[in-house]
Amino acid sequence: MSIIELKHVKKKYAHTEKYAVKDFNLTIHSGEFIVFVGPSGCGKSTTLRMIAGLEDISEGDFLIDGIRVNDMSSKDRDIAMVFQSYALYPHMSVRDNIGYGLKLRRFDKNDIKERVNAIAEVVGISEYLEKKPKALSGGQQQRVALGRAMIRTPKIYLMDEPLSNLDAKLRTSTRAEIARMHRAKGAVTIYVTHDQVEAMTMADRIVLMSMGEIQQIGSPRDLYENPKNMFVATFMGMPPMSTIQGSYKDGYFTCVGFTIKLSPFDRQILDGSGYNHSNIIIGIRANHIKMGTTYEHHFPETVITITVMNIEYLGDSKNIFFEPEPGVVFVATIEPHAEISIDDTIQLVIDPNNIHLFDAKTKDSIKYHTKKLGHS
Amino acid sequence: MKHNIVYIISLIIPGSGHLLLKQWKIGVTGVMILLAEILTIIKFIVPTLQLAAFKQNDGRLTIGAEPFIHDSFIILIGAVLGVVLLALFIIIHLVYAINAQRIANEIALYGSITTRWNNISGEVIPNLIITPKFLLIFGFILLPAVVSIIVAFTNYRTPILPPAFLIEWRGFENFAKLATDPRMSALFYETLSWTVVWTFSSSLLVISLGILLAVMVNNKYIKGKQLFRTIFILPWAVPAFLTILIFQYFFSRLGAMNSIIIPWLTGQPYSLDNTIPFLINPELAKITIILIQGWLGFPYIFILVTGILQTIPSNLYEASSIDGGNAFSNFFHITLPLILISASPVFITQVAFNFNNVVIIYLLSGAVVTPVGSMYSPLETIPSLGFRLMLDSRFNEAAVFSLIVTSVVGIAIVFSWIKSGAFKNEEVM
Amino acid sequence: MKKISKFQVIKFLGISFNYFILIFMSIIILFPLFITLMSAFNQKNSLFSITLIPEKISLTQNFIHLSTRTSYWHWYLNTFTISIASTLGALMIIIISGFIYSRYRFKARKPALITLLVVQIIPPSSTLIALYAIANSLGIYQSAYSVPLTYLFMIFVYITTGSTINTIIMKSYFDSVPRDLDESAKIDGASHFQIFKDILLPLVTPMIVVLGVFTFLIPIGDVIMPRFLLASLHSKDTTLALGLNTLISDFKNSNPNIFAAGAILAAVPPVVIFFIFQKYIVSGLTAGGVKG
Repeated sequence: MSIIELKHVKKKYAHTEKYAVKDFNLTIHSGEFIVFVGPSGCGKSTTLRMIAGLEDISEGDFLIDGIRVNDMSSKDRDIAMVFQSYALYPHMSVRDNIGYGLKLRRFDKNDIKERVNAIAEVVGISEYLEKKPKALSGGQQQRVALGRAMIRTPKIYLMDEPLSNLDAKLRTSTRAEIARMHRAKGAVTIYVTHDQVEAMTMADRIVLMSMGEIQQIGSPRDLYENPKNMFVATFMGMPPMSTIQGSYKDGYFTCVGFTIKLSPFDRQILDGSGYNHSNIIIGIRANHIKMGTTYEHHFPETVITITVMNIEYLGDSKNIFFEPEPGVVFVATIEPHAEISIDDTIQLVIDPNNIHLFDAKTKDSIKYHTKKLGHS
Repeated sequence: MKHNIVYIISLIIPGSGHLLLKQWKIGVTGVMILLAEILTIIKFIVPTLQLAAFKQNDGRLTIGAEPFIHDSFIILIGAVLGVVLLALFIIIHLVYAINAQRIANEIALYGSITTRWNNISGEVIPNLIITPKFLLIFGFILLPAVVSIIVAFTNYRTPILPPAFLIEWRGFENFAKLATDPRMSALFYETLSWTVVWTFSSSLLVISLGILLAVMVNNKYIKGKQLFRTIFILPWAVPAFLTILIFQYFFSRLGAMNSIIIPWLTGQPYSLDNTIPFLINPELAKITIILIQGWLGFPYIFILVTGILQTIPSNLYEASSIDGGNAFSNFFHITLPLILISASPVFITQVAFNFNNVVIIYLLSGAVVTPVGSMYSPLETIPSLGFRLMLDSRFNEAAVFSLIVTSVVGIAIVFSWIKSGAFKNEEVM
Repeated sequence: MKKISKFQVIKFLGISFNYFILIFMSIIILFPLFITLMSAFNQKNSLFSITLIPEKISLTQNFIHLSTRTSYWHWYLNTFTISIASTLGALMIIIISGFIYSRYRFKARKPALITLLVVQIIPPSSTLIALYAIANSLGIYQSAYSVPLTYLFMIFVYITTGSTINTIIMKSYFDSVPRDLDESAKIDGASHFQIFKDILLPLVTPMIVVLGVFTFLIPIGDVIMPRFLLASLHSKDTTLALGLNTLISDFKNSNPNIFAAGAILAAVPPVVIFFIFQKYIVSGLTAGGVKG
């Protein structure tokens, strides 16, 4: 049962002015599956490497079970790691690759053999044990890398984009497998990815980072439904949330393309926070822009008229792209059989109960704190 | 402003800036280094440099004052070491000054020193490991090279050999001799013209033979590629001095060329009086030696070009054949330019290597008829003549030659770096 | 149809011409070596042979003469002692400093690498005057152990000249091993030394072999430095290159068949080593050579 704490952790590389990681604070409880997600260069991998002991921690404290381990070497931190490139030792057989960590820890030879065999069974590479990594396919190499991490029972598993070199199909199945292994082992897993789908599907808690700063920490549902700011809102979810700036006045939001009436709940918050007669940004997820007369009847005051710019047919749904304001692209996900073609002028309905509100200047969510209070 | 003050005082007294900034430990080491420097300068550098240019009563400027008491050569090396030490002292002062300035800056900006010293192990250990190598490079390459150059400005030659004699400074006399002394200048210019011919024709032969054979073996219709490649690497695998000696015999009056091949070609029976003087007649010997160098040198280019050919994507040729190209236009418009682009730095160093190839000249020039009045074989090139002069203990003249050789080779190598962008790419990074 | 056959004729002629040149060149390369090989087993006492295959073949006679009439085995031992010692010394420096330059970022790193590159400008031959004088000043030739000390001096020169550009080549090869592997091993629990020994060393072995062969061949083939530094020593203390040279230029004491026998024996180790490691050497050369 271990608790991992990162307190005001910062990273600054020599000869650079800027911090690669600024003031990172996180407490991880035992058994949690934590995903660091963010665009490339956001500092997520750097943070992971600091946890692994591959990078020095410039400032702040890193504690495992209350003990400061900043200056402890990687091998004493009791961690295992899966690398993006898998980092399999090319000159060793798969068996030696998996067993190397145990060999260094002076395990008995027969013991190593049994453990390797067992783990090979689990990750499904028993037939390749005597081969060199080069002879394996990408997916098989990935399994070897997983097996190498799994053979020990460390306090923390670290995974640095382990699926990014796999094709889409394999990625989905391996995702499930990693989640299953995590449940079986019960140790803390910290998983780094730039793919928000991986973050959503696997994480107990997501740490979303950008420009070296934590944007939001929370469950996938938290981040999706109650994003702290516009960056979180647009990063999580596919297709990304559509946003547009406009003015708010007495319950009505007006932008270049349309005017809609906001829900009483939103209105109460906006008026209460002093946003009347000022600029705000609204954000709507694609599945909250509907089409059809039923919706038009339900929400007559959020019906907008748009010209279809592009259509993506996805089988179970259709994505409609339009520009309420030149340069601002909106997406709506509608049912797949609607007869629409490009350049058609149609009517869509914005679900007024699912509109995200952001401050035009700070880009922070206006509803974040109220919603959070509502939860608890 | 404080950082400028500590910079300047640290330049004069290393460590003083640190003491001013209350960096006691570093400051004390600096002051101790200064004391060591002063001691070295007084005890070693000044006396050695004084001896290194001693004015005798008769006006001669000698290295050392008394024969047998002072070994001129040891004093010369000591003087070079002294100058190097002085340069080292200046660098130490600069390092202290720059460091003091940075610390002053940090104190001014943040109120304390932010640069942590915990990366000492990351600095000290690598430096400790690479230091012995640089001591070797200094002792066995840099120091000898500098001393060799200095010898060109002295009268160090037999019989003036220390410790029985003192070496004298002679300024540019040895260089001037190349122009003024009729025998020396005649020797120099004849050697120079043959050196140019030798360097370029042997390089051209080696490079073109290497490219041609590599391209031919690489032809997709040729079978037995591996066999041909093995045969063509053979001259490189056998040590060059052995093949040169083999050829020395092969082309002699008794060798296989005269006793087997020529009778077979002409149908005339072999007779000792009827042989061709391949390595004896000067003009014939020059051609023979260039051909031998072609034999010896092409495998390196052959291997290199074979490697480059493998990297040329075959769709280039497919595209060209769609455009109507044939084998010849393919070679001149695709293969050759691509080879030249990637291998030109190597070709330049190849030229420098052939220029400086003393071994083949030294081993093969023995049998050649030397013209009346000349001490040296007409086959000698500038580098090999330098070597001969050295063997004859004419060190000062040899040094002039090796200075010429160093400049030519140096320029060629720098040129090849520029071509390959050695300083730009990550090679050095 | 006519056009195609004309094209085929040209192609056929081209390939035939190709083969002709290649076979002709092969003969030019093999013939002198073959003659030497035959001569080594030629028992005939005359100074020349006019037939390709000797009339009287003896497998041993010339080699026995080589042992009894010359100091051949001394030369052999001297040469390979110097060569092997230089190779081991240079390889140690090349491997360790190549590793340091590749994996550690320290302040002196870049100046050090540039120095290694710039030192290439100085051809080894132009340091000879001073090297001889230094060896002389050190009292090597006057010492009771003049022979081993001279060898040691030469070995140091070979080690130094053999570990400048080769270090850079080695460093580039270390660079080609992904750092992920080091880090992975670090997390597996390996120390710095274990990372070096278990992970990096096996992966850079091809380049170690290539550079080892190169540094091994240089002292064997060198004529210049031994000619200069070993001149004052006894003739049995010289190297193969100089010793064989006296054999061929001094017909009174030997004959070409004995020289041929000596040449074949001297060529065997380098050629065997070369062809065992041919694959490594060719790939190493193309990797190192094209880069510069």
